Amino acid sequence: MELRGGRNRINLLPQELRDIRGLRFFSGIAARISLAILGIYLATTIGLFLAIFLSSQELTNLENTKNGLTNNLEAVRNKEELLFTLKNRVSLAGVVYDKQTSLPSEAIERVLSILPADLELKSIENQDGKNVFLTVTASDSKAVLNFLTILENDQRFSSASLNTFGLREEGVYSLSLELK
Amino acid sequence: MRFLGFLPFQYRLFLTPVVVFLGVFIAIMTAGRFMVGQLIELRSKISDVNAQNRLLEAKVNTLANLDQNQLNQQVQAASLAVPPDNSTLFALSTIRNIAGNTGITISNFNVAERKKGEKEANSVEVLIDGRGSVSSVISFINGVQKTAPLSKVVEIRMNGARSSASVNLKIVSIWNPVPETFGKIDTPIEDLKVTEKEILDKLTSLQLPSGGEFSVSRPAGRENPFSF
Repeated sequence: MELRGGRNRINLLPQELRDIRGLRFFSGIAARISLAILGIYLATTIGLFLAIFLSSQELTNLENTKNGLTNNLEAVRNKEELLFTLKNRVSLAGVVYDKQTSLPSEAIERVLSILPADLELKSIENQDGKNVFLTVTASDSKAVLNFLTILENDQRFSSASLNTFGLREEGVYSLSLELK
Repeated sequence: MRFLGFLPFQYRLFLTPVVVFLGVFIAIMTAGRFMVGQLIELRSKISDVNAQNRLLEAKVNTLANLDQNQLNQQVQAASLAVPPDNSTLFALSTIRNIAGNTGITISNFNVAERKKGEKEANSVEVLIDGRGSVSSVISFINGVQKTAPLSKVVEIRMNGARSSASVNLKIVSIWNPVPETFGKIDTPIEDLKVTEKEILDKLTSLQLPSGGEFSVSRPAGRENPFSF
């Protein structure tokens, strides 16, 4: 029994029901929230079902496209084999062409192209397109000087080293050079 | 609701929300997880198949743009340049023909075979001792390098006068068997790159050896096996 404004207020509910009035309020909120969660869950589940269904359809379509492409490819498989063989041959040949920038024959030709007529070639040697070893003889010093001037002025050789230089008994000059 | 009689009344008020929460939780942990897993798996498969389709499409387009006849000719030329079988006899025959045509007299030759791994070509090393004028040696070297099978003169030694020099050459020629496996159907393939095309141009420009055909004589008995 409560006293308020001079009036008596009487709660006729049994004691155990009077205690759960606050709980009933919270249970109502909990029930609403649980229903909302159930709704969200159901909506998500339907969405997932739909997504799985559509994805399965998409996968089937893509598999069909793949089969079609595979069939198309089978038809041109012969070309693929030819291209594969071609690439293989080219890559093997590439090893031969790439190994060096200059071929020995090119290096030898380069040297021979500058050799004056008054010099006699005694020997020439080249390995893997690198340095050219050259032995020449000349009947006079003028021819030697002329050759050395040509070598000096030629831009195709980065360096020229005179390894030996001699005058034989018969009056012939002999030079051995290394050209880069 | 008699069976809930053991619960105090105030707890019974929360029974429905708790059951719903629990039900949703269990459903999420079982069916929900399963469905999400399924969806992730499907999307992953779609992504894979999509990638494969793009690859196959590119491959089909690349191959469709290739001319079959041109490809046949190129393969033929490339296979002559880099033979699929041991090219020793082929290389020797070519060298002999070119030497004859350029005026080089071969006095001695030595052949050594070098077998390499799968990625590197097998090679044949031919050492030649010969004689000829300097210009004919140069012609010979150029001829060897411009004639099939693909050969390279890696070493040159010349001694003597311009008109007649003795020459020692080391020539390397390559060969390798054609690969037997061409890869799976979904292995990517590209058309020839620029550098590869340049090499192919060089290979196709190699001359065919004149009279390069071999006629292998049949074994026949000799009256006196010790006399040649």
